[in-house]
Amino acid sequence: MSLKGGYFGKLLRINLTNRTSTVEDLDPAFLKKYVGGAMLGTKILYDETRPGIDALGEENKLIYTIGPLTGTDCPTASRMNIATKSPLTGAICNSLSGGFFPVEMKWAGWDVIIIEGKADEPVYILIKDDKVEIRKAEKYWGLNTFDTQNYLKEDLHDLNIRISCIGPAGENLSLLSSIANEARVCGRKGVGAVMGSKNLKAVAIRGSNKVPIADQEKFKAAIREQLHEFKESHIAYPVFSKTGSTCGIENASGLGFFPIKNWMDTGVVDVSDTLGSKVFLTQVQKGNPCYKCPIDCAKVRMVKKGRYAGISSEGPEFETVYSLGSTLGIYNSDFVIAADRLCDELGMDTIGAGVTIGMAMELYEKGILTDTEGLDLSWGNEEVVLQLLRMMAYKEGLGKLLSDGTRKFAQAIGNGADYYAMQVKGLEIPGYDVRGLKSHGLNMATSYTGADHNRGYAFQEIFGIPFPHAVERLAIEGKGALTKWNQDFCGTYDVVTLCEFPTQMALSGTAQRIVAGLLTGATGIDYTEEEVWELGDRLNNVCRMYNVREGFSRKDDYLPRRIQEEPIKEGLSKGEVISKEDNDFMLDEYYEVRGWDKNGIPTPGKLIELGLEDTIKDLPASN
Amino acid sequence: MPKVFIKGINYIQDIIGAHEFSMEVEPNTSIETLLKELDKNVGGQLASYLFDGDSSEYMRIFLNGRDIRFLDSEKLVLADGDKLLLLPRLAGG
Repeated sequence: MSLKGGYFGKLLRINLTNRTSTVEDLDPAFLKKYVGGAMLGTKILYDETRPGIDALGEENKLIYTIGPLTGTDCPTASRMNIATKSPLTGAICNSLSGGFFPVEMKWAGWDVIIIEGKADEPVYILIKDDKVEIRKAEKYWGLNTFDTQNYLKEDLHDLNIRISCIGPAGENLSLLSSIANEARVCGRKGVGAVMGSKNLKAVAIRGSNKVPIADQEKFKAAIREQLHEFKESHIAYPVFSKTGSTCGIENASGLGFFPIKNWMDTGVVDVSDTLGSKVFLTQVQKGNPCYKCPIDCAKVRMVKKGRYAGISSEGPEFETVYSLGSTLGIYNSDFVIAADRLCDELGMDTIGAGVTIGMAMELYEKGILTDTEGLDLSWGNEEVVLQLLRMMAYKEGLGKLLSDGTRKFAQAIGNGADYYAMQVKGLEIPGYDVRGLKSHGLNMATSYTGADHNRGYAFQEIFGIPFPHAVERLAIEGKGALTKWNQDFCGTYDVVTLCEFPTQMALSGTAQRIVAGLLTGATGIDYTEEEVWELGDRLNNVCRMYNVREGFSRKDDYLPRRIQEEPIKEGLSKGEVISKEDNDFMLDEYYEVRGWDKNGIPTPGKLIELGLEDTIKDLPASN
Repeated sequence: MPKVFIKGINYIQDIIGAHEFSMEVEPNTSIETLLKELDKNVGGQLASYLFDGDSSEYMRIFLNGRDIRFLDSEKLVLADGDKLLLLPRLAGG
């Protein structure tokens, strides 16, 4: 098999310890099987690292991958994945982002960039096509993410060079730190701390190569079909292009699953008039689409008057409205924009940071957290939230306790604090009170990265989209199979690196077929619709095996006790829980349809079916 | 007469002219009858979302938090205090 298009077939390996870079050829059969994005990155990390490594140690790697569609004319394909061992969860971390860095990486001629080892001083990496330099970064260390990018662009005399970098939170090894490229972010699971642990401030990249396309006619036909589906959608252009992801807020609030005050008061407050999309629509300044995206969901918003006047941010997204708004008892869109901006500057995950502060506020109210160094952690205290975000990024005082997320914070406080930690596998839960969304709950419980909405988004429950069939959001039965479907569906896009948003709203019934056409046209390798589905299944299994090798199993697939025991107080999801019995029922169904045993371990037969027989050696001895 | 509470979200709110309002209905009024009445009140603007082809393509309707597609037909008759939520089909979060 030879590569005809879609790839350059090259892997760039940069060793920071030795300050060397080497080029390796990628095997076409390996690319056919693992394609790109999350699966290619995970598989390489799996093969090149041993279990039990320190995620912040020299042995861990940062693996940037893109896909065969990145940098081509295919819309919504400017996506990249960073794979690493998560220091926050101890599980596999796949963190994805859009923007322009992914296409620049492709045009530089690289399908994969592996960064390994640790520099003995702050450095940044400069890549211009096949020229690679490791340079001193003393001058940039300490700068926020925006200034880092601005300084580097000026110093390199190239305003369009693309930069992936950390801010102070990553430098200080906060486990809630992110990696930014422009205002796009690989946000979660502590990727920023891994970069910081390597003394790596930034990667700057510039490319000039044209991506080869194997079969232009087939490729263009698939793009036409994709664009036609976008046009026919009554959501994509009419709504999503205007509001971005905030359009879901009224939906979530109306149905009573938008979390309020650390999930204590879900349903008690309707945020439609204070944090709804109509409010944020009035603050839009301009769009800022990813490369070749006609939908343009990213909105730059600005506060026009009052205390936060003049502050601008790309966002906030749905999740940030929850994590820096409702879960803190704050119902002020101006504040959410200001706090979103601050997190982006500091290089912090808005979900993890906000949810951890929300937990601290509840512990303060309940008298479990008593020593706050004089800070008033009352619900809705905007000033203290801004103060805490800075303290977390710099690990100062109380901020040091909060900077590593809810699980570690609960361990430090003790006294029953873990009940209030809204996390799974150590990853803070995004803005869906899953007591009112059972499949989404099962997804949060079983997602290979911890509580991650994007790894198996239950759009049937959340938005009523009837694919593969209409779903009663409050039913428990059938949710195992649905969750597998959603995780494999979303997984496909994480592998081929297409944005998930338009697939849900415009392509939910046609996506895998269109992806098969795009892949076949770009690479010249024939992919069937069934093979595209299998990519998602293979991704979820190779990631599960990474976690199994680290000791994860059924015991790690449970939702927090609050979700199991405490019914939603008010609203249209009132009275709902996902009890321990519900959690178990859904897990049994899910494991069975996945081809895993009762303990959540893939069976040898399943691994052979997916071509993952080389991982069988890592199954626990009892299997 | 039974009083029911109606809430519209996003562009459905724009059509019905309010985020939330209440309405008195005749005893044994069905959801379908109420929606047709509501459509008349807004000059037929709801019709394209509700009655053309498969309404579930464009709109979700919840009675007391339950998706009406999953309710038995006898439960589709309105009672005093019922809450009807009209949600446009959206995506992304």
